[in-house]
Amino acid sequence: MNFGQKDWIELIMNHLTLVIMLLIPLFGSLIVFATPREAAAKAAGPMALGFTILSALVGVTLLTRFNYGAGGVWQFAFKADWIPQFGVHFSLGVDAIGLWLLMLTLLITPAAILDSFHTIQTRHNEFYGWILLLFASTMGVFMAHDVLLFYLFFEFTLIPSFFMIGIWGHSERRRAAGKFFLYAFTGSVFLLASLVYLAWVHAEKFHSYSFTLSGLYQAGASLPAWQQGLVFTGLLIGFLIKVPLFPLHTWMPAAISESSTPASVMIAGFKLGGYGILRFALPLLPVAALKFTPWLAGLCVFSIIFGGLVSWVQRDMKKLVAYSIVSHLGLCILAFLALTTSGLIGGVLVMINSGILAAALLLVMGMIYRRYQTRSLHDVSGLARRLPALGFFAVFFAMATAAVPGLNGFVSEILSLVGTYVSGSAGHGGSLGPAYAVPAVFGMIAGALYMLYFVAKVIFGPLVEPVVDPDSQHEPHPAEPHPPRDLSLREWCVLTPLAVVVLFLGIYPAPVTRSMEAAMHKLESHAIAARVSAKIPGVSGVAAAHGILPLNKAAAGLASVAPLR
Amino acid sequence: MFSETLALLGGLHLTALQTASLIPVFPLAAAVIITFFGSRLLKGGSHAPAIIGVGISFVLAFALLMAMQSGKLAGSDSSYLQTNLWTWITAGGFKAPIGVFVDPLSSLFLAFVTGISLLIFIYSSGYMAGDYGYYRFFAYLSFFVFSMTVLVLANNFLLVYLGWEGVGLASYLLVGYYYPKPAARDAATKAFVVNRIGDACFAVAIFIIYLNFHSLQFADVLYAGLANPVFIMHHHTAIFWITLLLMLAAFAKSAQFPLHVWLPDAMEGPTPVSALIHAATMVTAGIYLIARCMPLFRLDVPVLHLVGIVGCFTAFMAATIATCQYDIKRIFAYSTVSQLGYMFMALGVAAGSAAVFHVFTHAFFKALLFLSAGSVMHAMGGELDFRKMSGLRKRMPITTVCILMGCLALAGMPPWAGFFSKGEILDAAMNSSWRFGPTLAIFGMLTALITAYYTFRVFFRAFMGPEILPETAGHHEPSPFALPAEPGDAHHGMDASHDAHGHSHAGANGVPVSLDGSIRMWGPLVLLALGATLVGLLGVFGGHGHAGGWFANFLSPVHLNQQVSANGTPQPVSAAVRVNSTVMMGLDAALALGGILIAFYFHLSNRAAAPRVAATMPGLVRFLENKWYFDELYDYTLVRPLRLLGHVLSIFDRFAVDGLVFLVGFAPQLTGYTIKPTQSGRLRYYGIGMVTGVAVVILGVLYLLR
Amino acid sequence: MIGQADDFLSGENVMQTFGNPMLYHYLALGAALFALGLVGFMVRRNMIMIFLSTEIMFQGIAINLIAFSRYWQNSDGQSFVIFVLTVAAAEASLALGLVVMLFRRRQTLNVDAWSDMQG
Repeated sequence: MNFGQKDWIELIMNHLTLVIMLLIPLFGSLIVFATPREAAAKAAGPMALGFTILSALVGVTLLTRFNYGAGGVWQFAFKADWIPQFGVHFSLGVDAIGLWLLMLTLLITPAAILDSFHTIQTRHNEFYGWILLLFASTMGVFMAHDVLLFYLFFEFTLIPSFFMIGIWGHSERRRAAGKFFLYAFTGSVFLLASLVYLAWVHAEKFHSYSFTLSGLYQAGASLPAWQQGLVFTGLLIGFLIKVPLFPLHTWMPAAISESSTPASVMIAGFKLGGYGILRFALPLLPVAALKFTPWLAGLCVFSIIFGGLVSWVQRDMKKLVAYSIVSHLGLCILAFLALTTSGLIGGVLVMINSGILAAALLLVMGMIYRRYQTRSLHDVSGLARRLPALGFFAVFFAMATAAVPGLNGFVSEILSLVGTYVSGSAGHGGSLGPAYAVPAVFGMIAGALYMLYFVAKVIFGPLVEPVVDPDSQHEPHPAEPHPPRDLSLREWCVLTPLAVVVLFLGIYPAPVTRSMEAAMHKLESHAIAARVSAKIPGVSGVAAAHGILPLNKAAAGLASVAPLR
Repeated sequence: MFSETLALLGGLHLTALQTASLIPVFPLAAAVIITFFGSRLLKGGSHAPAIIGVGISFVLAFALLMAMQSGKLAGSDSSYLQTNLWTWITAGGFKAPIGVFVDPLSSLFLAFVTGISLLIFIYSSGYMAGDYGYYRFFAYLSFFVFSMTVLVLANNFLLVYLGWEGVGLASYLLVGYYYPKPAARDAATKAFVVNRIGDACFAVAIFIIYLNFHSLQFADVLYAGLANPVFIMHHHTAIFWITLLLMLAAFAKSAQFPLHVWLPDAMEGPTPVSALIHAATMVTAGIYLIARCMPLFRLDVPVLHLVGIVGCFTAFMAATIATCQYDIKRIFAYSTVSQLGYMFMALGVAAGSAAVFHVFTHAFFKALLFLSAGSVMHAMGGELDFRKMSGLRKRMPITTVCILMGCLALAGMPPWAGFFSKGEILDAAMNSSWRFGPTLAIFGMLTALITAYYTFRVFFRAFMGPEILPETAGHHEPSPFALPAEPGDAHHGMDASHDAHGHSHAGANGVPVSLDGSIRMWGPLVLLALGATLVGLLGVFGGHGHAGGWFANFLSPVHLNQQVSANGTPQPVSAAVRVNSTVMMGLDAALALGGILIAFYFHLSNRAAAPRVAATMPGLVRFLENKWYFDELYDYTLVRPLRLLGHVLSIFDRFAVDGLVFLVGFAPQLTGYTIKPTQSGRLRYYGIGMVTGVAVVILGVLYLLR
Repeated sequence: MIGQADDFLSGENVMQTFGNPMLYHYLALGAALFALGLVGFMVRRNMIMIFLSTEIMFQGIAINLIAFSRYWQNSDGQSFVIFVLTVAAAEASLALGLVVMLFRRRQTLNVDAWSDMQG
């Protein structure tokens, strides 16, 4: 076979893009780690930023080359044997869901790194090395098409996160890091057990091990209901901890409030748990998912209300954001469980938007902290008068979080709620409905409550500025002028891209939603097929209307990959 | 008809839909320009883009109205024009485009919203001159008008929701414009949160609409969807919930009981903002929504009647509260709540065109009253308590004449605008086919009496009688934005020119002779006063045989005035004329005059009498002064319990949930503690343990192998 | 049994009374030695005594091995005992050295002085 230059370009463009995106930060982290400490103080940050932006630039080309018409198909696939005896492949690819979450990662990481130029004053090389590793492993999660590879990346995110929380941050950071790690690790054990069991089932039933998504879909579908329930529980524990959903959320406020701004931004901004639920828990075990739905959805609704109310009474700004995430992601999981196309799309958008907005708010709070050395809502007030630009961004992001239409938070919230509302009615998948959607609407009111509370306390009101005692700081910081100045150029650069995306996704989310339509519709049909096969009454007509395939065929279709040419 | 073009500015030809689509663009552009260039470039000239933007919008809206009026757009088979511009949100059948919907109702709203806003903008450029954050103010104002025009022009429910929340956001920012003042900040938060409750209801209504109609387009839902009687029969419950929730949403936005509490507090914003909120861009949205959804509402008569009852009650309640307030703006704020009650009452008796007519006249006279109050506030250095002032007519002649026009209109004296619109509502209620219609009408008339009384209470107290000026008169309020002293801070110098202007014509005791302010302030007042005096005539003349005059004739294609009887056929509102219109008009005029005379006696000719009467019923006065204790009621039944619940959940989270997690983590440690004593470090115990263990194992094995 | 033991000590009589010693005799001796050593190990506090007790346990086992070796007419057990003895000797020198060192540290041979490993 003649392998010319054109074919090389073809190969790189179509199949190696993702690998290149992964390799850039991995090599970058090696270089940054190897930089001597003295040199790193100046160079590590820019180097890390450079690697990230390089990777992001490669990633952005995906947006132009992605075949949106086939958003449900894994594209840019790369596949190599890894552990052939157990059917494990090093197999990457993105479909529409992964693509947008990848873009979220690419958006947030440069902002976090740029912000750490101000924030991180010690052990630069390690910090930027870890941040690049976290970046790479998070991207890997969204790219992995092999389940064991997914698990590897998923697990690996723990290590950099652990160090980033534990080394740089506020006084309680070590405790928070320990809590974070134990929580996540406990979840991972259940996750691994469930995945390995599925692979083993595949080996039993089909006489070969498989860790491909399609293989496990088949294995999951072939299990009896009670085993599905057990495996589903294992997956749920693993993913819900990462989401986090009440009552598995308590690591989140601690980790976010005690870690440094960039670390908290990345923890809050990367949505691994929700992705896991959407990609694995629901399609792998559709029957179990349907059985668990009422309880789980109830938990989600409680999480929404609980997160909103608790967020409203926090004294710590970053905790306020942390609980708002609990509230938002409750909605996200609820929308997934609704198993309607609009709900699933809305849920993904909740992940993306909550990621952007939580990151943006945490960055703003970090900027306040840098100036006043406080995270308390009661110590500062009226900052709009002193820092108008910062005040503008704070109100802007707060309003987006409170789901004001025209900004991105609204789109995700309304789609999730609509999806939940129509779930279970004629012509739609799922089994939820108004009983879940109407209480969840309280999340909208709560969103206004806690976000306006933050704005009223910190941004509006009479000007109150604590005087910073330079000796009392936990971390050495460069002297801030008093009274503090408004946003620096660098801070503008951190916030502006986020604000632009917030606005864009609010006004014109149609490209994003449309690209996911096919994938989500497939998932909805899959769920309806599961209902039919589980003999849950009253859906056969629906299935006929949707042209539902038998479950196994539907499962195979879910994981279809673009053919390797 | 769709190709019919409007000739604008000579050469420019646009279709009606193009014209309509352009209307929101200019205020938005102004808002964007001011946001980006206001602080550095435009500064004191920030009003220019805003005024130009809303001015162009007004011209377009007026051209649209004229085209609609002249019948150029008539002759189509449908009563509206609509188009989708681009897709906003789409996901699995849930589609919401950005699109416009033009019919007489929306073109009328557009015209008066942009027109009144234009006047308020011009006024603001004088009123706010020299203020810190001048540019911010005009950016918000422009955004406010943009949101309102989007709301009115939207062709689907979700886009209405965008405008709906947009005006909420704009009002939040504007009420909280003086954000360093805690009162302004809290009022803004309250306005947003109370509105959010309504918005949540709206959202649920949207879900139900989508679920049942599979569309959010007005054309599909209100027109095509409801054309099918079988469909209506099958979806009766859904329609009930939709209308109920839309009603609650409208109540929140239009400040009706029980969600009226935010509006009076919203006067913490600068006065032009109050004028904008009360007259043009915010509270009228609720009326618009229900008028727009009249095809739905008239299918569910109980909900429609509930609208009327709540409206009537709110009108009465707010009017009683207004009689015992002392702050001029606050009185006008309650009068807005009350007048909005009238409008809902009209909607409740299916007299939609009367409601819209009252919205229209109310916009003129309420804007006039608020702007006049603003002039008073401006002149009195921020003081608005009429117990501290009297006889302002000599110092503020133009303002006095203007506010008198406004008061007459509000009180409903013929031939001012309020007389006709209010009269039409009462007439419709009295002659409604609903048997409680007359009851509402009687309460409405009682309210009209009270209205005339409290309106002229203000006028007689503040503008007539001997001249008393508060100490702050002629001075400027200290800026709430003042920082702790800093050298070279620009805004200290800003007020200087103003003061110089004021003091140059100083009369005795250092207060300027004329306090009317610049032409930018009194010019709009005069125009609004003319409007408040004359627009009522639109409801009488030019009707081409239509009883409601030009106005009802113009709105007739929208079918606002029909009820549907049990068998599904439309029927006119007034089944049987109970009371002749002429008699009603006479009664209305007599009541207005009566109210004015009572006010004249107690507040001008015999001012000492008022406190004597008040002293005879201290409980009632205190009850009214405290606004029926609604704020306290909500504080104790909603806000505090919710916050308490938040704290309880937070504690629950910290101790129970996290405690449980701690216990899980503690379990291995606990096990360790329990068996720790066995590890004594004594060699012989280990030996004993080992021997015992071996013995047990051996015995066990022997037992098993026995 | 004690009386029998006395007889056992008087040589000739034993042979006449019981005939050739049987395998179980040796095993009983080994067990007795082992039990003795075990009890000593458990109740003694003196490190040297404990050490000696372990040596006695070794010897008990060694007798067992030799007895079986003899019984099966197989020299494996005997050669193994040679190894055990060698290792025991080496170990004895090491252990006594440690004991001396421990004694120097605490000036006592009481093993309870060394309970630092308690939990």
